[in-house]
Amino acid sequence: MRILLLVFIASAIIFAALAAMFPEVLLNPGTLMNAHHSLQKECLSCHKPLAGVSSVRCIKCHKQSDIGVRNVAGVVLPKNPTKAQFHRGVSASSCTDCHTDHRGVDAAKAIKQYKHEALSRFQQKECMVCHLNKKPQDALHRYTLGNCSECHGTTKWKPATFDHDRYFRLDADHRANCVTCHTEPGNYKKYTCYNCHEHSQSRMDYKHLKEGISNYQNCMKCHRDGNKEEKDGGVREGQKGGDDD
Amino acid sequence: MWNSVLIQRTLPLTISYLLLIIAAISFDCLLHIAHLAWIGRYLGFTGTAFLVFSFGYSARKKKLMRNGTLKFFLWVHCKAGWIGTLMILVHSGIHFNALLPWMATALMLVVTGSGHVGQYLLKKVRDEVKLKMKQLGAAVTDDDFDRQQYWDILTVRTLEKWRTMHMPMVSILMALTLIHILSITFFLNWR
Repeated sequence: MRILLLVFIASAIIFAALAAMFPEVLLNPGTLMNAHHSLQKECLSCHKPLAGVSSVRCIKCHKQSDIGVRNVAGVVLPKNPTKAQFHRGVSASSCTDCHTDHRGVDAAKAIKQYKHEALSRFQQKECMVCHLNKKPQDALHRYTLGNCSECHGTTKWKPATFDHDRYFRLDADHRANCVTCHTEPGNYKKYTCYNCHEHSQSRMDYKHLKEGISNYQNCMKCHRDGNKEEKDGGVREGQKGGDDD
Repeated sequence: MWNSVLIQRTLPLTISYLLLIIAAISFDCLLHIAHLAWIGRYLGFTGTAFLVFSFGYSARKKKLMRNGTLKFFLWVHCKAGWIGTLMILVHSGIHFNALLPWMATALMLVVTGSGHVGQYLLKKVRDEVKLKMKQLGAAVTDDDFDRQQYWDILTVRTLEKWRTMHMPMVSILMALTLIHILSITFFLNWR
């Protein structure tokens, strides 16, 4: 028993000493990114004992006002106003909200999913400040303005969270380009139904007046899909519709 | 063929050991598929608890506990050890980074394998002693035999030799486990 205890104590001392001397081999849970390679033996550069990674230790090297402007060595970086502006707008103690390490040499893999709740309400509407190059250049997005959050959630781009059926169900007859109905660039709240041969102004005037309907400028108030039958009126909450012809 | 040593003794224990590895891989895969891989982190706690619990057998042998048969404690030791090893294997996952925890995992597999060998040796010695007693004319039931002879069986040279390997490996495993737990405690954010 005594021998076993000695074996235990001796092993523990040896392994503890080896761990302290070679933490990058014995304790490192993953390769550090390239820029932190020189810190692989300096665990306490980032880690506070019993408290994990401390943003205070990040700021020691990465001054908030210098992010996106110059690197740790003081060398001026290529201009990246988005990066600089973004980092100045967040709290100095929030580095670990987005950044981690031990995920390999590529720094891009050490970015965690960003929590948009950390942004102010104003910043949350200014999606393009950070997602500058993310806007697709397809027909759908060409007419959109900066507020991505009207159609997209904050966890992933696809699928878009916007549900057109809430306002009007796009059946087989209505699978047109967005600009066919939404003629005002960037303003998807305004629409017209008169751009199709099916719904000419004069024909609609005739049909509705014949039925005694005089207030028919907001088509979606009664027609939530391609059916001809009149639906119960009432614009749904938050919806502004209207013909702009 | 069914009475051969291979079939009766080594095959069940070999299957038990291989089943352990297969179960660990399957469980780990299932957790990843279900996006529950984070559970593996906490299996370190439960696995260690099971392995510590299995030391009740050592306490019983040292007569720190006096209730319960040695056979029962050995059974608990084997089962708790198997379950604890499974949990630690899932906890380790298929990540090959820090060397120290991997040394602990590898040694744990060796110790578990050694434990299976010990089970084989114990059964072999037990059967041989029982046979000799019958040859000498003693008529004992299984329960009587276990009560009377279990302690003596443990002192048989074969098992003594096996213990000189098994026990030091357990001590080194405990040291590795302790350093691993201390290092995790040191670097983790406990707030």
